[in-house]
Amino acid sequence: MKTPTLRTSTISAKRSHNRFAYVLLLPALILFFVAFVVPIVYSIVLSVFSRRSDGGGAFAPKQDVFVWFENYAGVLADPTFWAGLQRLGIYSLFMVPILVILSIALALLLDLPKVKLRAFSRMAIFLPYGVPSVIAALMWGFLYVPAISPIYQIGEAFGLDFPPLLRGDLIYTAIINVVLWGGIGFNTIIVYTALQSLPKELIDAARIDGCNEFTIARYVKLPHIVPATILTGLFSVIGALQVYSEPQMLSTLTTAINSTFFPLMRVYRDAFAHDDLNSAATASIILAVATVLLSLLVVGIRTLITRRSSHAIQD
Amino acid sequence: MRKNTRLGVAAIAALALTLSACSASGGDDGDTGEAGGVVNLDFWAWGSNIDKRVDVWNAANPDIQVEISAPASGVDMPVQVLSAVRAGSGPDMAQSEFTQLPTYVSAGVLADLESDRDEIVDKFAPEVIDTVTFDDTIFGIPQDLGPALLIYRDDTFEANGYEPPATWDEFRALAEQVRTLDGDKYLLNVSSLDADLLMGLSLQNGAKWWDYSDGDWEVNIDDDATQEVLDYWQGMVEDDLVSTYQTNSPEHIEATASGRILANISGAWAPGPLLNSYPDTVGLWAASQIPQWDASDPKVFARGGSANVVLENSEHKAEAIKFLYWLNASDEGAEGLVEVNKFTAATHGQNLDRAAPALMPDDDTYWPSATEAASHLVNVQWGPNTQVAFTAITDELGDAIEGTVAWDKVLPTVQKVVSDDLAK
Amino acid sequence: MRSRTRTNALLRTSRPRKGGIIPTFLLLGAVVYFILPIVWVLFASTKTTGELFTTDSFSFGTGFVENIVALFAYENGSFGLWLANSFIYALVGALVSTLLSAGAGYALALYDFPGKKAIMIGLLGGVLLPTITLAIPQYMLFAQLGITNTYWAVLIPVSITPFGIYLAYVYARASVPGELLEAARVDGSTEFRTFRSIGLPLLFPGLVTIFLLQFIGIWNNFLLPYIMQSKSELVPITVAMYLMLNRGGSEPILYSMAITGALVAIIPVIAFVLVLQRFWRLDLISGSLK
Repeated sequence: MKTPTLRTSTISAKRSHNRFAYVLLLPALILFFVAFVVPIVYSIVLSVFSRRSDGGGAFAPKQDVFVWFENYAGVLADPTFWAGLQRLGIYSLFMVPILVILSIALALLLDLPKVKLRAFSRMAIFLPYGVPSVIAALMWGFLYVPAISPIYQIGEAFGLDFPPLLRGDLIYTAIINVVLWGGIGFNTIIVYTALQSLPKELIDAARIDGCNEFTIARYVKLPHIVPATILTGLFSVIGALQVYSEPQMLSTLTTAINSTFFPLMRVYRDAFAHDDLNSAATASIILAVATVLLSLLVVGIRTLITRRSSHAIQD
Repeated sequence: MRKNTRLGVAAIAALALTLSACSASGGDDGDTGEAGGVVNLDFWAWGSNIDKRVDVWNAANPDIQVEISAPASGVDMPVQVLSAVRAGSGPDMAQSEFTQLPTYVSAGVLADLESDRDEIVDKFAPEVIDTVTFDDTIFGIPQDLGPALLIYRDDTFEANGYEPPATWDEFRALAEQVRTLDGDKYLLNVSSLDADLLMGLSLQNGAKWWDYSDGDWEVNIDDDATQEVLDYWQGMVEDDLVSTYQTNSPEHIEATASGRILANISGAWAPGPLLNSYPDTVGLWAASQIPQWDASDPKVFARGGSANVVLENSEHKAEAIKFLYWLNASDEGAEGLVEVNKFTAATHGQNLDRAAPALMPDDDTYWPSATEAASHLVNVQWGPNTQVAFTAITDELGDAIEGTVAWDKVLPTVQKVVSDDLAK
Repeated sequence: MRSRTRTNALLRTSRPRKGGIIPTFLLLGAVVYFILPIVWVLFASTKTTGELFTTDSFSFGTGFVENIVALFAYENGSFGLWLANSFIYALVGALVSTLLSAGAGYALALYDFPGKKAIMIGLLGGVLLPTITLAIPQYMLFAQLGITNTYWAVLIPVSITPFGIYLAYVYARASVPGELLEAARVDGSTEFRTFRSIGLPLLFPGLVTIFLLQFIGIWNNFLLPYIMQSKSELVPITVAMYLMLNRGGSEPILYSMAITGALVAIIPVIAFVLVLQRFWRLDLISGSLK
């Protein structure tokens, strides 16, 4: 006749509580399994098979053949794959810093006390976020045509001769511009919101001390938004590595974007133009691994920075 | 809050039930195959106005009903069809561009039409039958054809005393003259999307890119005939004798609409799209035969055009063949296609008297020109990986035009890509 | 007390009246940049194809009604269907993913159970994994299962968002105190009742944010529906717009219609964004990285 101790009753109570946690998690876990885990496993399987025709006629149908890592070797040996990665690197190298810097700049501008039309500007800056990238690319595609674009015409009126963006190296500008147009708003709002959590007294005290807005921005606001900046940086990096819709849409408007311009376009081409799902799966996996590694790197950097800045604040 | 949650959950449940009902009926591709009942055929086709022809058939054939749907996949349709077929939910029949046929055939998903070979062969010219023949087996019924024509601004030509060029040398000379005109005019525009033009022009020059002999494929893209064609166009691009806007981009359309680009080499289907993009230019265009290397031995290639195929998975292949034969090969079908402004692959349709296209309302010579062009079509031998070649050329050509790749690297690169892919 | 009054007085007098000109000017420059394409589309949609390439950008054309009629008549009136599809995918997807995220985030934030760490790491991997590299394997899997070309093909993938779960987790941690749950348990409430009457209401503002983010994300999604759906009746507006310009080969390119379509397509979401922007709790996102 042992009366249950408090400890065992707590444990059994906890177990029944935890049952509810599992119930809550179950639908999400099931869908996660179906939509994430299984496709990943499936594409790993696909990446070690290939469809080969076994002779027997000119147009003999193809069969699935186990090929170990031949697909991986094939993708990694393909110059168009590396060319695509290189372009992605150039694109990201420009896009990410510009995106982050402009978002911060706009957020700071919005946060200035004497600024007029704040709400209107905030809304206008955020508006493009709601426009699908396919449509954004279409609109900008027209705006890039010198003969009919108001931008070029205005430039002419001022005696400026804007270069055409749809050829040569300036194609990066064309793509980056479309992406920035759609993406700055979201990141600006994140930084701006972070700025709102800065205690008003801190800023007011700084103003009374005679600091001008630049100094305040530099020494008070910027350090405060470092976490938000890292966040937007991370989003931008992940987004940059996944760039697809904008160049795909723009490729219909210019000769300068070919079917392997960025890695994901090459994946798409393999899967849907060449009916080579195995090669597409292989390249997808390589890209996914690279992206995860890069994201972990960015998160690692962020941990380092925040740790250092929190140490600095403590000192 | 509780009420809202319950309502929300109920709404989602209702929606989910509705959707599963939708997808159950939507996923019912193929047919229901009731014995002695109505046969329902699924037809995936994008060609404009084909649905009108389908309506005519359905009205006259209550026992074989065709449902046509426009697949939302544009140029990437083949693989979507293939995936649907492999998953067991593909259509009975599909439309396919000629250059896409090899993809279907290599995947082994098409039913051959040998049972009706004699009737089919009777209705088309031999070169046209070649385009749907693989391994000496017929795999599709050609629908429309795009024999290449030179479509040019007649008003500008007349104003400057130009004659349509008969040879490529004359073409180049004319291009030079056009450059001297006011207003930064060009005779033609080329872009990476003209890979099929390069294919065709090489054919015209006698190239044979794929050859099957002794149980093995031989790839000959990097040969003299193709190189000669490429050299010619390299010259045109580098000497600024042609503009290089992306085909049908806003830049390109603006330049053509303002009269800066005087001509294009298109298939016989050109007047429809031209009218759509340049409605203000009605009556200003004319057509002539494309330039030749050797004026005494005219050869013409096709740009565009499509055929209809039957999928092996179909449970009603006989009915499908019957419908497709009526649609594309029969005299009645050919006449119907002509009515919806197609240039038919069927010989009967090509020989019909028909009204001039809306773009050139006073030009009674247009359709006869198209027929004449069709009579000089060269034989085509497709390889199993035509799409791979296609995208490779598109990429390399684009890079060469942009100047990021040397012109003399184009063909070797394409050759390597295509033969490597075949060797797999 | 006295110093605060003095500070307040100083603050009042030290607020400058001018000096905001330059920042305002810069901001307006940014505003022009962001609004320009939308304004352009407004003007361009009034033009016929002929006028589109030959008249000035900021002039009105004569073809607006014609374009709208053509747009909604295109492919037997499919445009309305495409808009409806976008709504269906976005609304249902956002609702389901928000509910799932709410449950999962709450569970992860407030319970400690075996396997929790593994699940969190798994979800973190899901956050870092680019969603678009998943689209093609999802397609291949769904094609095998035969559910491509159904509404499920898009709804299933968009209904699970690891990032949404993560946000819900962060928000639950921040706004639902563990003591509250303990108190409820002591009072004899079941876990489910606690969740429903205490947890969910506290989570609600964060859930609205997750919903809105998902809605816009799904509405703007192009690649997933493009790959999954080949039947014209199932595609959303993004895919339809792309297809208007890429039918291939010998079909005419419908720029006028596409531009008018673009205008109609962006109106709902812009209205959505404008009306609901005060409900955003985006501090949730920047606070998540603590």
